[in-house]
Formats: sequence, structure tokens, C-alpha cells
Amino acid sequence: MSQRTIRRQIPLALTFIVGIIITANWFIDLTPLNDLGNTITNFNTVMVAFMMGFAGVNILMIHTRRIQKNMSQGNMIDVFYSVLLLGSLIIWIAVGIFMGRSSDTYQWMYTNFNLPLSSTAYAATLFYLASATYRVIRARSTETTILVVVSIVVIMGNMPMFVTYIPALMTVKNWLADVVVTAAYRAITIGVGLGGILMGVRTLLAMETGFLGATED
Amino acid sequence: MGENGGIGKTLANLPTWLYFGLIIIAMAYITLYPLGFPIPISDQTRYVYAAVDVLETGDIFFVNMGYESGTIAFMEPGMVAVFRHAISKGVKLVIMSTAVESPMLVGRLMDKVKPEASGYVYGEDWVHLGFIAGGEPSYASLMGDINGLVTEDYQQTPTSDLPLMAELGAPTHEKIALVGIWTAGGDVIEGWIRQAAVQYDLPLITEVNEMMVPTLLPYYPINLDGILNGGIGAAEYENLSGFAGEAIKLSDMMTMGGLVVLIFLILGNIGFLMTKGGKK
Repeated sequence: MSQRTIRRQIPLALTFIVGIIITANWFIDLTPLNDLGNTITNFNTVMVAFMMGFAGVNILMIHTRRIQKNMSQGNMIDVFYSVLLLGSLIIWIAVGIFMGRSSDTYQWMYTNFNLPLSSTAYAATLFYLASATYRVIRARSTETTILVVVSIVVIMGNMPMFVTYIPALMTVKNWLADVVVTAAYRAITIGVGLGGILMGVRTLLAMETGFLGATED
Repeated sequence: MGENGGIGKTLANLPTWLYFGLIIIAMAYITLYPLGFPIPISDQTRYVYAAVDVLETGDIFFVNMGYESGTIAFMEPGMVAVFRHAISKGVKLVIMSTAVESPMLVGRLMDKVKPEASGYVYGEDWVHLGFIAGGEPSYASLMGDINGLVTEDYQQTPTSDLPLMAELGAPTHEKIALVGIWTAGGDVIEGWIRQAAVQYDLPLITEVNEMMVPTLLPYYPINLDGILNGGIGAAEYENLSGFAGEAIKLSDMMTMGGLVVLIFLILGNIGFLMTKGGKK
């Protein structure tokens, strides 16, 4: 079997067969077809779970190389970050495997390390949000003036304090959301949908082969 | 440039430490001295409430918990309020996660919901299936035959030992009365809209980050029955359902946070316009 058959023709044939089954499964209510569709989607779930494990191995390999390189160059701060990352990864995996993902130790580690760190990082975005709003949203032109006015109305419309005493704010905010925003997003969504259909058809017909990666021809 | 230019320049270029400091002071003050602002209820929240309120005893509410620790402050209170409402009606809960971290947040969530206080038994009235990888294709599998995809729950108990999972059976979508999605991102919801609402005409409710709401409006209220608008939506739901919790307490902080952003937005623009006017 030639390299071309293995690298191109078999994956393209598999893509076509699987694509046709999944598409037909959506439109046709036939038990054997539905079962086959379910089996394929189950297989996808297993593959994704496997790839997550593979991603862990990839991180291990990348940072091992990075530690070697940075040690030779004397970048000890970068070495420290990579060691911290790999150390955390190994500890989490070890605790998960040997003590169980639903064990008290695993939960304790999550509650006392991950939870406060992530929550703090997210809460800090308020400062950046306020800073960006203050520095960027300026009435420089007609379009940005409209943006400023709409921003003020939407921010006030999202705040119970203002909506309670100025009910019209809720009406204006709802009108903006229901008419202006919905119309714009529907147009975008329909465009993306049509693009998706086109991409799907091209992939099924082997006209879109980017997912195969680089090929010689 | 004159006096206007001087004041304008100052307002347009406030130092970072000033507004960061004011944010800290404002948030600290409102935490210590809550003002108890009233909470008006939006239509989006009313629709979520209505979708839960029509459920009957024994109905199954399928929940995708897709938020992680960063957004827990406003996602969890909404979920607690909706769960309390559903449990008060005797609705059964099937919880799965599309975010790797979410299963570890279910414990603290259910500690707040306290299903056992309403006589709920794990495995019979609610189950926690843990993280399910695979994105949208996995939603299709779950709606088709959940037991074909999920063989054990988060505690690694075989699903064959859980009566609620046997009740779900295949085709699973026929046994589900409502689908709820809690996630900070919009792509998860679009997948569920396609696989549950469009394919099987199942009612769908969601709570998302406030900034994601506009991306979901094209689907609302046809494919998406209701949307809880982040922490504000959660506070509205608590107010509407009578299950007061953390969101109502946090609503003052959210209001104050918005107020600070609003003040700086207005000050920055006044300063900018005064400077621009001076130049002319």
C-alpha cells in the first residue's frame, strides 16, 4: 500500500463514510442507523478523552526540553516555572490515580489551591475591565459616540439600582437586545451556519484537506 | 488650552492607582455595609422560572454544569436557586459536566442545595455523572442512549446500580423534561441547542456570563427558553422563586462594580470632550 493511500486516501474515505452516516443519522429515524451513529459519537468521546491524556504527555515533553534549554542558558526563573508546572501536573495525576479523583485529598487540593487562585484571577478582571472602559471607550467619532451612549444605557440597564427608579432603562436595554443585537447576531449566525455547511460539504467531497496536515503533493 | 483643557486633561488621564483604589474602597464598603438595592426581574429570568415551574414530580431535569472555579461567584448561586426550585417540585436531577473542573464543584453545590433535606436519595432522585469529554458529539450520544456512553458515575458506581439511570434508558431524550446548561462560554450552549432543542424539541434554559448573553439572543426564546444573565440573573431568580441566597447578597456588589465602571466611563469621556473642545 502506497504512502499516498495511507496518508490521504484512507483518511478521506473514512471522513466521507463517517460524515455521511452522522448526517443521515440526523435526518433519518432508523434504529440501525441511529445505533451506528451513537457508536461513532461514543467513539469520538473516547478519542477526545484519550487526546486529553496525550496532551498531558505533550506538556511533559515540552517542559522537560524547556528546562534543559533554560538551565543551559541560565534562565532560572523560567526553569522554576516549568518545574512548578510539571511538579503540579505529576502530583495531581499521582493523587488522582492512586487515591481516586473523588478522594478527599484530591478534593482538598482542588478546594485549597485551584479554587482560590482561579477565583482571584477572575475577580481581578474587574480592574482591567474598569481600566479598559475608562481608557478605550471615548467619543472620538460618530460611531464611537453611539458606542458610548449604548454602553452607558446597557450598564445602567444591568444595574438594579437604576432600573428600579428609571424603568424606561429596562425598556431601552431590552429593545437594544431584542432588536439591534439579535438582528446583528442572527445575521452573523446565519452566515457562520452557511459557511459551516459549505465547509462540511467540501470536507465530505475531499475538497478541503487541511485537517490531514501537510502533504507532499 | 485654558482651564477647560487643564481639567479635561486631568479627567482624561486619571492615574491608574486612583481608579483601582476607588474600586477597592467601593467594593469593600458595599461588602461591609450592603445597601439592599431592589431587584427588578427581567423577562429572560421569568422564562427560566416558568420552564422550571411547569415541571411535575418525577420529571427529569438534565443539567450540564460547564463552569469552572473562576466564574463560580455568579454561576453557583443561580444553579443553587434553580435546583432548590426544581427540588421543591419533586423533579429528579441528572448532572454531568463539560468542564474538567466542574465535577469537583458539585459537592459544595449540593451542600448548599441540601437535596437530602427534601428526602432526595442519591441514585434514585439525583445522580452526578462527572466529566464527559467529546463536546457536541457526546451531547448527541447522551440524548440517544446515555447508558451506552456513561457506564459509571463520578464516584465510580456502575450506572447499572443507579435506578435513575435505568429510568433514563434509550432513547434518553424521551425521558428528559428539561435541559439546563450552566457555562461561562456560548459554544457549549449552541451544541446543546442543536442536539437537544432542535433535534428533539426539548426545552432549554441556561445561565451564562453576562458578556455572553448577546451571543445567545438569536436563539432566544425559540430554541432557548430562558437565560439567566450571570449574577444579576441569579439574584433575580432568587427574588422570583423566594429561595434567597448568595446572589441577592452579591447584587449590591455587582451594582457597585457597574457603578464604578460607569462613573469612569463618563469621567473619561467628559475629560476627552473638554480636551478636544480646547484644541478646536
